[in-house]
Amino acid sequence: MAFKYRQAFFENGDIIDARDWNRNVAEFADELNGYLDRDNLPPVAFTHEHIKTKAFNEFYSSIANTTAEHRTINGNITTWQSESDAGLGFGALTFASDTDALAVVEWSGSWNWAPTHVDYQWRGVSGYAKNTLEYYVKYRLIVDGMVVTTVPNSVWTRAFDSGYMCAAIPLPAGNHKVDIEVRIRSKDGGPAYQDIVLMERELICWLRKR
Amino acid sequence: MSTIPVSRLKVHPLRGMDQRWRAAPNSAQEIQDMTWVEQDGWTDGPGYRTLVKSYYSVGSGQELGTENLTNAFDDESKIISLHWFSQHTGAVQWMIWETSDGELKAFNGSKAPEGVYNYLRDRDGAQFNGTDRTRTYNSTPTVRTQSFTYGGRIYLLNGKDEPVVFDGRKADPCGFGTQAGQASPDVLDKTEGSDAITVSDDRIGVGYKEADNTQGYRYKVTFVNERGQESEASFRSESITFTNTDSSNKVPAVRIPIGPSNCVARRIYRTLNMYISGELVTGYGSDTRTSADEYYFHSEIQDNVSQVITDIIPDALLGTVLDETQLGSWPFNATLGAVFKNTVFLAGMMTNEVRFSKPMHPEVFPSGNLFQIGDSVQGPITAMYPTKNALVVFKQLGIYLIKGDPSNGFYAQTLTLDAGCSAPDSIKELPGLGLAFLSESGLFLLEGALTNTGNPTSVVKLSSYLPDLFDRINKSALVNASAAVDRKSGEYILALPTRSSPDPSMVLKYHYNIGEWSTSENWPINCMIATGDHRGYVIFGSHDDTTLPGLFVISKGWPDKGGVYNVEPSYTSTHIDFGHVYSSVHPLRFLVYAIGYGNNDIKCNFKVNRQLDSIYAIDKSHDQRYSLDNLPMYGETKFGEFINGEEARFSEHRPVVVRFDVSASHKGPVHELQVTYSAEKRRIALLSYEVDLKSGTQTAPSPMTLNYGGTGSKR
Repeated sequence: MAFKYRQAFFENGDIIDARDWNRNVAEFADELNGYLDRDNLPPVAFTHEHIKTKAFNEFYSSIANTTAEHRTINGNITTWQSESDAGLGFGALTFASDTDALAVVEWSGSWNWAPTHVDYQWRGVSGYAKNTLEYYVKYRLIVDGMVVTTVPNSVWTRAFDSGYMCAAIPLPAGNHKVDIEVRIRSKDGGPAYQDIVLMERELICWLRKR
Repeated sequence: MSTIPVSRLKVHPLRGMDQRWRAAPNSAQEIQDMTWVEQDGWTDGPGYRTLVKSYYSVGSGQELGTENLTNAFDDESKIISLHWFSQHTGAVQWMIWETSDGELKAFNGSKAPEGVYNYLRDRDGAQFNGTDRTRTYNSTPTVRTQSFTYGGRIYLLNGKDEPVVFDGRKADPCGFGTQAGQASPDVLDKTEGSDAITVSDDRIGVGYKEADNTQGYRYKVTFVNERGQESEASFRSESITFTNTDSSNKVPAVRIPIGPSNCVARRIYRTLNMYISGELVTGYGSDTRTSADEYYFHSEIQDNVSQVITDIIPDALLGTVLDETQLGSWPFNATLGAVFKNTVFLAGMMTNEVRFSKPMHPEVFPSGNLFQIGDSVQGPITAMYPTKNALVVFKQLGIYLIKGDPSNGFYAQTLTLDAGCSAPDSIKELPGLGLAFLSESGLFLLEGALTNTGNPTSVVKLSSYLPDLFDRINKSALVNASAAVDRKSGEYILALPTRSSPDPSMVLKYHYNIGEWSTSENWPINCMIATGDHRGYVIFGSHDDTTLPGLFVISKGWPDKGGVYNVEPSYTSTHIDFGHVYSSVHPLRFLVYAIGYGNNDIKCNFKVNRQLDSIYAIDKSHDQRYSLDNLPMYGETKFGEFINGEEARFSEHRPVVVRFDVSASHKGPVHELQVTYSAEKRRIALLSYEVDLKSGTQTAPSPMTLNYGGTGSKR
């Protein structure tokens, strides 16, 4: 409640002292210097017509929802990978912000373990002897080179799986890049020998300007 | 300078009320409508005015064209509870109140001066307007609706109505009152008969691909609200049994119950296969996860519409085991709530229990999370307040501390059984002092660090010297008392019911910077808050729905009390004792050190020897300025013009000495003297005063100030 109330009372017969005036004026001056809020404005005082497009928020997104955009990631590599086996990116976002902003970034996607090495392919059948190697895939979200969040390990038994990760990070004005990275490993840190096919996915960045 | 030898008693600095029979001269028997200021004096105190100004509305019908002075709160019924909280790091503030008409409203200043509130709405859009949705009002003294905040939301509970949590948009029920309904599994058939649906994919399916061996499962369900709070789990479902083949699994269908309207998702839990090689598992086997009565997370149905799910998740893909000891319903009838270390504590049920939530889950109350606080001898639990490193639990006669933290566990310990709290709304933290609370025998302070380090923890009585005032209190309605801390004035404001009514009308003010008391009358305070923002206003809700309905804000800027009562500041000293009963004095004059406010008079009268009547039938009075001063005043001065040959300008308030020549010779020898100063209109500021007297022989006057303690602090 941003209403303000006078703090000094005076009446006829009182000697005039500027401090009485100042005390009351200061009470309101404080409020005008940044504390006005919804209680001070009549309903619908501001509408979208008063506000320039993208004054407060901007959205950037990268969506991949066709088969041609699927990316196969090499399961023989154990380090973080930022592009596919064919050298294609995962759909990074690059943009320039003209002010400081809070970036709310989120990524969701689905993937499939590609049966590239039959010895280590898992089958949910009791007594199947070949699923001895435990492996997993992990994703992380990168903003300007910083890791801001990760998806928990997705294990080999989940042949088809999906993940979601989001984070909020303050950004200065300037150029920025948002991307994901993928790492496939076996439990002991070695290769998984199984590729991942990264399928439908979407990367969104919501820039909340200050 | 006096022409005859006199004794002079200097009374400085002026301190607060002390109603002992023999109190120090610089204390007062009564201070009305005054405030202590840091320049060390007592000035006129605040008044109050409705939160929004009155406005003129045009009449209707035959009175069309007339203008009526109207206020948004003219038709407001009694305000029975008042709450304040903010969201978005203080950018959005909410003031919420309940009325005796069963309404629940939030202040909306954008429509001022008319219609300055919105009714809160529930999830279905029904308004808490006393008709669509209503709140219970008890006219008899009872604990008012209490509130606490968690995660940017405010929780409101009164033990009678459904507890609600307001998130800025809607008032939702808190947690779940009961466990979820029971699931009902079955094997999915294409027909009504034996043509079951099966799945042959190696990676999915329920049970083992074993021909003729029995497979079996049970399910449990929980409800989840939009804040992620989970209900108690349902009773286990009937078991479902079926057989698979060597190449395919059957697909069970599970009928799941629909939750209440605040349910946004349902969680399904399932056992592992209860059969191994066709034999029923009765305990733990070689697979240490296997148990016939353990339930693992299966899936979350993120709606409250679906009634059947098909189950194709193999045992290996189930999630973590369901720990039912960490689930529980919101305690029925809880009237008190507090948040301590990310945990919500509830009390005020019909028992001596304090229940506490699962940490970080403010609406989930596992049945084992409870403390038994004291026994029935100490009365009910009356209040809870989180402060420093403990949650303080008050009973009618007893104070307990709950300490610890969620990771290492909480524990309770008894602090004292000598004092307790009678009014939960009286508890407030006094800056630099401790926790003030009202009990039947007065106002107490819980001071110290509440731990084994730092200042020792102790309970001290703050109102020791106010026996007459506390005699006036209506003890049976003490629960109606409420308090707020006015940080601008350095006052703890305590509204108390007197014997004439259960509704509070008297205010006691504790000036915590000097540890002194004053009082005031005609404050219809039913509930009170101090806004938690930089403004720090004290706002109260009125119980007087006839003369002073609505919400009022306290300020020294107002001329009066709601336009109905005057602010009438007065300072009445103690009975200043001049020594032995056989010695006497003759008062000659009072010299009052006051702030020179102008032509509005300061008044003076006095009593001697504790007689009932004052010396003068009409108070003596004098301008609050030097007689020869000719300073610009309101009502007379126009800037740009001249006063006595000088251009009009601002002046300054400054200390002046106002002299009252008096005589009490017609009352005989004077042993004791009590003086009262008051303001003719509104403004007054007393710094100190002196009493000139004839005492002893004229050639050897007695040094009164030294002999009778007129200077120096009382305590």
